[in-house]
Parts: sequence; C-alpha cells; structure tokens
Amino acid sequence: MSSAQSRSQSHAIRTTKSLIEHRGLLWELTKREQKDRYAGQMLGVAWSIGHPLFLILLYVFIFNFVFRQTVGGTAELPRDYTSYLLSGLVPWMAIQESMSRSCSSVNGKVDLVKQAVFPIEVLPVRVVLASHQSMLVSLACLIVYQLIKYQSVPSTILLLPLLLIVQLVFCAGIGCAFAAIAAYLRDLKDIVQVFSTAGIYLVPVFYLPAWVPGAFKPFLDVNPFSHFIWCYQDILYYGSFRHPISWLVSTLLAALMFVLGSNVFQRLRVGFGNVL
Amino acid sequence: MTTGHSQEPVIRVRGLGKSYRVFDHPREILAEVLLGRKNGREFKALRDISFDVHRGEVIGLVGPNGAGKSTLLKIIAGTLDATEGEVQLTGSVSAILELGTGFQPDYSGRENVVLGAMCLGLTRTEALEKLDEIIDFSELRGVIDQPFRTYSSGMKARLTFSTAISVSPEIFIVDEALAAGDAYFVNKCLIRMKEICTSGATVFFVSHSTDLVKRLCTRAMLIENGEMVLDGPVLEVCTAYEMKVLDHSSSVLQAVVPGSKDLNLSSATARIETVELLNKEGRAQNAYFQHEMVKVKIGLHLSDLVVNPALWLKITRSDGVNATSWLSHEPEFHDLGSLPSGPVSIDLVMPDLELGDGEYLLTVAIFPEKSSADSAFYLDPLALWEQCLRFTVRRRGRPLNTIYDQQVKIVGVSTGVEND
Repeated sequence: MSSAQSRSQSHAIRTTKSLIEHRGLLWELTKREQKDRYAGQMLGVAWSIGHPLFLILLYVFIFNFVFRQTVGGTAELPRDYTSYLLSGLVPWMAIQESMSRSCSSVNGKVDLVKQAVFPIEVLPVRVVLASHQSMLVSLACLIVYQLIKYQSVPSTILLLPLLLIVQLVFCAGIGCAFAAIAAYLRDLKDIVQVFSTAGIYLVPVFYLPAWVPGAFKPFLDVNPFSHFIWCYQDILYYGSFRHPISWLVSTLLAALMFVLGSNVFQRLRVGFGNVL
Repeated sequence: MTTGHSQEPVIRVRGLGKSYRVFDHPREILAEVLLGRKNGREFKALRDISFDVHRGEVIGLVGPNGAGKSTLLKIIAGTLDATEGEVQLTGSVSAILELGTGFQPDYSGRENVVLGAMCLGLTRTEALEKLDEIIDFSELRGVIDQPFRTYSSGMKARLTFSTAISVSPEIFIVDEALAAGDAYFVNKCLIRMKEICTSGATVFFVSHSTDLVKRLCTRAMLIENGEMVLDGPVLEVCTAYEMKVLDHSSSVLQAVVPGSKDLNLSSATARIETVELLNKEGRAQNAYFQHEMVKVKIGLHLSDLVVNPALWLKITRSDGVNATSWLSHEPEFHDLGSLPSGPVSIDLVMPDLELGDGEYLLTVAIFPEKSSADSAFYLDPLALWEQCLRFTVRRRGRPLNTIYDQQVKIVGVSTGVEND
C-alpha cells in the first residue's frame, strides 16, 4: 500500500521535474501549438481571439436579450447577469478546451513520441497552456466589460493568479490522463466532446444554484467542475468568499488530479510505442 | 577502448526480451496495460539479449530486415518498453531513429532547426548558438527561410541530419538515417560521425551496409531473428554477416534466367544440355565472393563425332556491359580432343574470380574447329546458350561498381627531397 503510494508520488514528481527541466521547450511548443492551430488561415492568430470573443458575444446576446435574464443590484447578487455569466463561462471554456485538445495531443505527435528521446509529458501540458492563453483574452473581455459598466472590478481579482495556477495544475492532470488514454482509446476524443457540449449545462454558469430544483442540487455539489466555477465567481463576481469549501475542494482536486493524471500517463507511456 | 573496459559500462543490457502481442483492437492493449489481463497472440521480436557497452565504443548493429535491430535501438533509446530484462544507461542520450523529428512542413527551415534541436534536448539559447553551424553544415543557407515543405526530400534529409548531429550527446543512437542524401553529403555526415565517435561519445549505429559499419565502428553485433548471434570485432562480425547474406542470396537467386531456354540454340550436331556453377566443394552455388574459385560444369549432347571444338564463355553484367569472355582456342590453344557422339561433360575452373560487385549473366557456346583458311571470326556455333545462368559476385571490401579489380603492386617510392 505504502510502496504503491510512494510510487504514484514519484510519478508526479518525475512529471513535475521533467516539465520544469524542459520549460523552454514547453513554452516554445505552446507558442507553436497556438500558431499551428490557425496556420494557413487568412486571419491566423486573430482567430484565437475571435473564436472565444464570438462565443462570449453569442451567449451574452442569447441570455441577456433573448431569455432576458436580469439579476444584480442586490447585496446578494452585486453585479449584472453578464458579469455572472462571464465569470463562470471564461474558466469553463478553458477547462473544456484543455480536455478536448489534450485527447489528441499525443496522438497527433507520433513522430516525437516514437522517434526521439523526448520528454513527452510536455505534449499534453502544452495544449493545456495553449488553451489557457485564449482564456486570458476572454478574461480581458470580462474585465473591460466590468470597468465600463461599474468603473471597477472586485478587489478579489488579485487572487486570480493563484486560482489560475490551481486550475492549470488541475487541467494538466486531466490532460495527461486523457492524452495517455486516448492513445489507446481513440473514442475518448468524441466522448469528451459530447460531454463538454452537455457539460456547460451541468455547471452553474448560465443559472444560479438557487434556480436548480432541490432534487438535482447534490449533482451540482459533487460535480468537481462546479467548484472551480464557484471560485471564479467568488473573485470575479461576488467579490467575497461565498464558497470557502469550493476553494478547499478545488485545491485538493487539483493536487489529486495531477498525481492521478501523471500516474496514468507515466504508466501508459511505456506502451505508446506499441499503439501509435 | 582499452581504458574504457575498466570503467562501468555506459549501456548495460541484461536478458532483454521484447514480445509483441498481436491484438485485434487497441482497447485490448489498454486492458492489458491497466489491468494486466493477457490477451492477444505473442510474437517475440527480441530474445535474451545481453551486452555491455563502454564509454567511447562505436558499435554497429547488423542483421537482415526484421531481425529486431530497430526494436533493440528503440528500447535502448527508451521509446519502446522491454517485455523482460533490463537496460541501464549512464549519460545523456540522443537518438536519430528517423529523420525529421519535430519538423513541421509549414515552418521555415530556420524555425524547424531551432525547434528540432530543442526537441533533441538543447535549450533555446543553445539551439540559437548552434543555428549558424547547423545551417552551414547543411549548405542550405540560400533556402533556409523558405517553408520546409518546399524542400526536396534530399534537402529535408540534409537539414534534419545536420540538426540531429549538432547536439553532442554522450550516447548517440543512429538508425539507418545516414542512408539519406547524396553521396557527397553522406560522406560529410560520415566525417562528422567520426568526429563524434572520436570525441569519446558512445555510438550505437544500425545499418544494412556492412561497409559503413566497417568504416565507423570498432565492434559489431549481428542480430538474427531477435537473437544476438555474434558480438565481437567489427571485421569478424561483418564478414560472418556477409557470408550469411551471400549464402542466402545464393539460395534464393533464380539461377536460370527466365526465358533463357528460348535462347538455347542447338544444331543437328550438338546441344548444350546443362550449365552449372559450382563452388570449390563442388556444390552448386550462384553467388560468390571475388577471388573465390568457381567451377563451371557444361553438359553437352553430341549426335556426331566432333573434333576439337572451341568452347566459348561470355560473362555479361546485368546492366549489359560485356565483362569478359574466354575462348578455348584463343589466345591460348586448348585442344579438347575428339568428342564422340553421346553425352559429354566438360569441367572448367576459374581459379580466381576477378569480377567486381554485380550480377552477371553467363553465355556458353561451342564452335567447330576453325581451319586457317576460314574467316577470322567464329560465326556458326554448333550450339549457343545465351544467358544460361545468372550469378552474383561480391567484393570482400566495400562495394564498388567496377567490373573487376586490376592487381596493382607498389614497387618503389622515392621522394623529391635530396639529402644534402
């Protein structure tokens, strides 16, 4: 039991060490990943800004003007619905993008996996980082919106870097696991895609938890992604710690997911040469 | 090498085995890796391989296709897992298992060199420092800012190889990659490889070309059917491998040229029934090393008494070049005597086969004895069998495309310096 535990810890340490050692390569590949995605397209990297921007405008339009959601102005809900929507939507889009892109992060780089002595744990982490680059763009949109509307942002926004790191660790863990499993099970990419399409309705992004019928509320609480969303809403919308448990849960989840993910990755990587 | 043996080995392989399981679906592999459930059929690619490699050794791995050479290299490089046994490495490893690792078609040659070098383990600063050296080595400065996809395959090979050998690893693993590029560039790569070898790095090198292995390596290993057959000094192992290849090609080579029966012309008097090439033990063989003894056995059927016919052999290289010919009457006159009607067998010997590398076709003919009044040419054969046999010749040294080796001896050396 204890030896198995120390082995899984050493997998996580090994992954971390490798990532730190190859940070230059990781950064270079992250830049490439973002560039490659839109390579050969007329607007190029402009798409990495345009894509999330368009989605944000779409959601804001539908829920503000079509469904006419109006909240805010109370002590309970200090800011408007758009702020609420965006503070949850922005991290969710990054998480969802990390998950779906990491599925093909190893599959798509067969040459690096098979033909070189290459630190392949860099591969899933680079797409996670690349996905969060677009998140910075969406975050900027949210901040600009709040500045225009309220001439201020909640002071708790200072905690954003901390939360981002926790989220990155969490996504890196998921990314490693998904990348490794997808090498064997190509269907995972589609499973993740289907899940993330539905997933946006399973996290409290469009609605307030209070609107959920009581019988379904526990689902919201056990959904690990909800806790990340709540943390973001705390610092970007409420401006206070409304969900202290979520902060604890998120941090623990991130650590757990990273250990689990790097464990899965390091255990499965030995077989990559056989399946790719 | 002498000092190396007293030290700890840099590569230590013990009881290494690799078996592939043949699966019907990838999910079965997942089940096996995660749950340890055995399913699928087993195929053994490597069996019980053990050896030590010391610092500074340059090892050539030879063996036929599918023997497991690349599998072994991949396991040592760490891109493939071993089923059993263990591999221990001391020092940094760089491997060129296939050219073009990390190269992307849409980026310029320059960008690809930087990322390629980083993929091989350099930091960005190191890669940028080496950039000029790499571009100069590839001699592609003129096109270095063009997208990689616009390069010819030879140029791609040059750039990727230049990148790969710019890193100075302690253990360098190269698989076949030298085969790319033109003769000039291959030579350049060889010189660079030699430099890497002499710099004290340990090099592990796979090639089909025993010639390259002989030129680069100090020690060679022969692998066949996943087993280590020989491990020793480079010349010994390479010669053993060449013999095996020759034996093999001798057994698979179709000796009789397809359609050659149609080229067997006979007259009312004589017909060539059989032509055979035999080695010095008298065993039929169709592949020979240069300077071996080759016997030719010709079976004739005569319907009449034939007095001292002229026997003619002609050897043509498969590309059409007339390599050599021999006539029993000229320039030296050999009297075959009176041959009675019925079967006749004639044995010839080529005591020292001088032909160079290549595949050859043998033509055999017999002509009637020529009276001095006749024309100077042998025109009407009694029997002629064109291209009756095909055989291969290999030089023992490196391959050359010369027809034969002219013997040359050094008889004196004098220098221009006078002793005052």
